Amino acid sequence: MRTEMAQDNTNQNVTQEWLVKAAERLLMKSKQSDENVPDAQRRDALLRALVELEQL
Amino acid sequence: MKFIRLTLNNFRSFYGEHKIEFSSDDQQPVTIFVGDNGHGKTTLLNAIHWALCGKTTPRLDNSSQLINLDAFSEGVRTTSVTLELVTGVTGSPTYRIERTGGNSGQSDLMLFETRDGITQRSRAPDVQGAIYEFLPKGLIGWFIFDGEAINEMKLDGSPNLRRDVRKTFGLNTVDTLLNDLEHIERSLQREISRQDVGSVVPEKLENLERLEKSRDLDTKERDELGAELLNLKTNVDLWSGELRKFPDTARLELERTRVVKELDVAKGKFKRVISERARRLGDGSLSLLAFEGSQKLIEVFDKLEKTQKLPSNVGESLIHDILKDGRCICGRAVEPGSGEHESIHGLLDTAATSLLSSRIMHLRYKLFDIKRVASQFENDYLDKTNQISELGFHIGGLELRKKQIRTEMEGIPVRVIAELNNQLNDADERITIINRKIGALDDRINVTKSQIARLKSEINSIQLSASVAQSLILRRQRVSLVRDYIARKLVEQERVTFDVLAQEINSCLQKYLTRDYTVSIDPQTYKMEMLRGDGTRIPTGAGDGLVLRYAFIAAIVGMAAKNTATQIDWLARPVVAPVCMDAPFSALDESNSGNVASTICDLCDQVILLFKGDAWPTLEQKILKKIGRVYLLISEAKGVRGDRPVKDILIMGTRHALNDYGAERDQTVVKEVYRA
Repeated sequence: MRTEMAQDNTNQNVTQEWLVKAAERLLMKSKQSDENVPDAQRRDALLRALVELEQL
Repeated sequence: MKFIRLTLNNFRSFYGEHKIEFSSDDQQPVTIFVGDNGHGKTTLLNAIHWALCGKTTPRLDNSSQLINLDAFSEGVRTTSVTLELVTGVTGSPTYRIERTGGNSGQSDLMLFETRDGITQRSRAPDVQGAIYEFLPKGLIGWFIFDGEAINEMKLDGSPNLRRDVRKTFGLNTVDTLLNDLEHIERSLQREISRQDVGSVVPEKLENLERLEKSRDLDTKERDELGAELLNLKTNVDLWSGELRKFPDTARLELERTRVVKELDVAKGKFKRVISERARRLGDGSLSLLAFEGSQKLIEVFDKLEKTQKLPSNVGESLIHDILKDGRCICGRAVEPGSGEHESIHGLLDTAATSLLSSRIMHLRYKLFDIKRVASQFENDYLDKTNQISELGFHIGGLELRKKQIRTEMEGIPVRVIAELNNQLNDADERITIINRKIGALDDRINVTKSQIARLKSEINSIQLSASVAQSLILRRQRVSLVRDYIARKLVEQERVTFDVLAQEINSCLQKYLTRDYTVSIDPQTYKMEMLRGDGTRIPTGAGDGLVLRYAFIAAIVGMAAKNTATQIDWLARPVVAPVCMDAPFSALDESNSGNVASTICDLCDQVILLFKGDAWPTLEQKILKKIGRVYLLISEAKGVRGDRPVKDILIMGTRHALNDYGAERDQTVVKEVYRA
């Protein structure tokens, strides 16, 4: 993914780097639990990934 | 994804077990199977298709007969196909798909994973679903297909086309993710709404401050009262100690009162006893004088009786009765004339008359009375005298104690004691008041403390909620930001995908055709049409039009595998799978087939081609450098050859027979004839 300056996210301490990483991580997680997993389970996995991403 | 190995067991024309290794080398990714019609090419393609999805391709003849006929006649009732593959994802295991079935159309599926040399059965709850993760159901036909049916591929803009293209490039995964993130964002918003605490905290903090002030004031007052209480108790101890040094006035006063009272009683009794003794003396003094006289008279009576100067005490009537009856009072007979009778008769001389006896007896009784009264008086008198003496002694003792008490009391500093007692009373009164106040304050402080604890707990809980809400708000904002970011990227990627797809298809067309044809793709439906240079449409059902389908497949597979000139950094992992084609280019003009094969082999990570021997010379030239393995599908027949023909083929400079005779049964055998 191209690196570019995020929109005005500085007040939320969200950097472009974080966005790129978060998108990659979430897409990977989503792909891992694709068609074969119930929605709720997949969303739980995504939410856990988001919580982990907050630590980055 | 790349196929590693295929194992057939009594599958259609393949009797017994046949193992086939696919070339998975990056430089030589092509595996070729050469065989004439009926030699098992379509069967081999269907073995792969059946292993992946449990179904055969639509054009397979006699598709319900999966079990090899000879094996079936020997009693075998199941056939199986095992396909081993790798996904190409880092850290992913080697998978082994095992499908077993019969002619009924039903099959059993097992999936095994081998990692670090250890094989175990997959724990996926839906094994078929797990396999569709490698190659989605809707896309199997794009990768594993019958070349003779290539014109059945629809590029007319049906909803499935766009869906399948997006799926191949993983864009549907991005759609799902965006949908999930939107759902998560809504959930977070709902959670935030539930956590909203409004202005409750400031209000409760004010209450807390007020309660803490009240508690502090009460505690201060209680401490002051406690100090005063301690001081008072010290004074009480001091004053009590001083008081204990003095005799107990109250006790003395009480004793004095008791002594005086006892003295009064004793004196009264003393007077009464003296008076009684005096009265007794008055009453009994004459009896004392009469006592001596009566004593003398009794002695006189006794003496006169003894000297018979007084009648005897035997009565004359008794004597007369004895004499008359002739029998004594003891019963003995007294005969008249006897001495005894005379003797008794003689008693009549001194026998008493009854009157005289009565008077003497009365007198004697009187004398005894006088004696008794005199004796009783003496005893009473002595008794009273003793009482008087004892009372006098007792009164003397009491008088002495009364005097002692008076002396003791006269030595007591009454004013000092009174003052000390007053101070003690005041102190006791104050201590009682203070204790009551301290009790009330303690109660109030405890209540306030309890209220403070409860309020603090509530505030903590609310602040925690507020903190949770704040954290959720931040999380929701982050979800929103990342969702927007991914959505922007998706739009961008779709645009790029569309451009590159058109670019790659056109590139393929330029390689396939000598004419200057280009593709036109509808950005909404992905409907594809081939246009001449002047913009007129070319029918895609036959001739040059067919190559558009191959160009489309080559472009799609190549883009997914990032083997195209313009590579796309896919947001989500696209589907990368081997392209497996039966009679791949049979529908094409010979002039096109070589170029199409070359392009596909250049763009795909792994290619499996099954074609007739006739096509080999053309293809060999075009794709030689890409070939990793070549197999012959040799048809063996029972019986001697006789006049029957044997076809052969020259592969890599060596001639090989495509059919043989004298076999135990009619069957197809697989023979590897080249390995790079």
